Amino acid sequence: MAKVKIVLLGLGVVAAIFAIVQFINAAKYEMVVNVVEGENVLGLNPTTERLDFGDLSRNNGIARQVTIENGGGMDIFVAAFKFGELASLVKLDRNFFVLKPGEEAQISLEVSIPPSAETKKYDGRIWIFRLPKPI
Amino acid sequence: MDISITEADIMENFEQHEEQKPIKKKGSVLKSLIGWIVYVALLVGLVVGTPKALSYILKSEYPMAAITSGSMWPTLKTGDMVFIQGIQSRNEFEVGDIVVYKNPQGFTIHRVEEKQENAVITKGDANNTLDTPVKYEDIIGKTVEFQGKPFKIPLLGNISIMLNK
Repeated sequence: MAKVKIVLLGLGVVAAIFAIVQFINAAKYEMVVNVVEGENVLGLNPTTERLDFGDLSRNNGIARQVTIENGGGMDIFVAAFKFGELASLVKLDRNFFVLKPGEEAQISLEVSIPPSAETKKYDGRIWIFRLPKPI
Repeated sequence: MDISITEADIMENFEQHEEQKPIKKKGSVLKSLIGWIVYVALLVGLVVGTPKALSYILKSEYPMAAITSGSMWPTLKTGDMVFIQGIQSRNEFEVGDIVVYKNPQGFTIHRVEEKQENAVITKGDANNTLDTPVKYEDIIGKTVEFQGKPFKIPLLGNISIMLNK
């Protein structure tokens, strides 16, 4: 029983270390959009440190891209997770895919402002994990 | 006070100790087994019993629903779990209520915009256009409200969505 506990504890520690490393290694972006009054208002605010969709009026949308590169020597599995108030309004054109060594891929994030949105700043986060693909 | 311990006493004590060990083990194994049986029974009871109890309390054939689209954003978000109160007559819901109705694609949860003589006009909060008029008999329930807002459990509906995939 004691041996089983030690093995389970060891596995738990390894899993925790793996999760921490993957979390640190993940590309983490802050997303923000400012919903404004009016029709067809579109004010792009391109910044590199965060995914800023700028000013948008209702019934409008805009897309921004994130580039993922596999600079390592083995296949990686790309998985993106969205959080926050803005997460429901952002759609990804691709998610959960494999990237071979040396390959590069773009994920397009498209935000659409529905008529039920309030005029305020919505924010959220996206974490893009690059996990080693199981053989 | 003199104390004398004989070899027989030591042997007796040793035997008693040896005898107690397996009894203690048996007891703890039985306790653990009973604990697991009770735990599994409670879990099965909850999984099977909750929808049935809710169905009885809410008078609805479909007491729970998972939100699968963003058409009611921000009131209801994809992955939310909502509770549905059964509706027996047309007087049990008003304009502004969020109702569930049957359609050829399955079920839709949208807000009532207008009650007409023979049909109900609904619309998703995040949609620009009204839905096709819905017959009164196709409306099966309305969302359970708490403090004027639909009572929902965020993310729980994702389990149902994933299982249906």
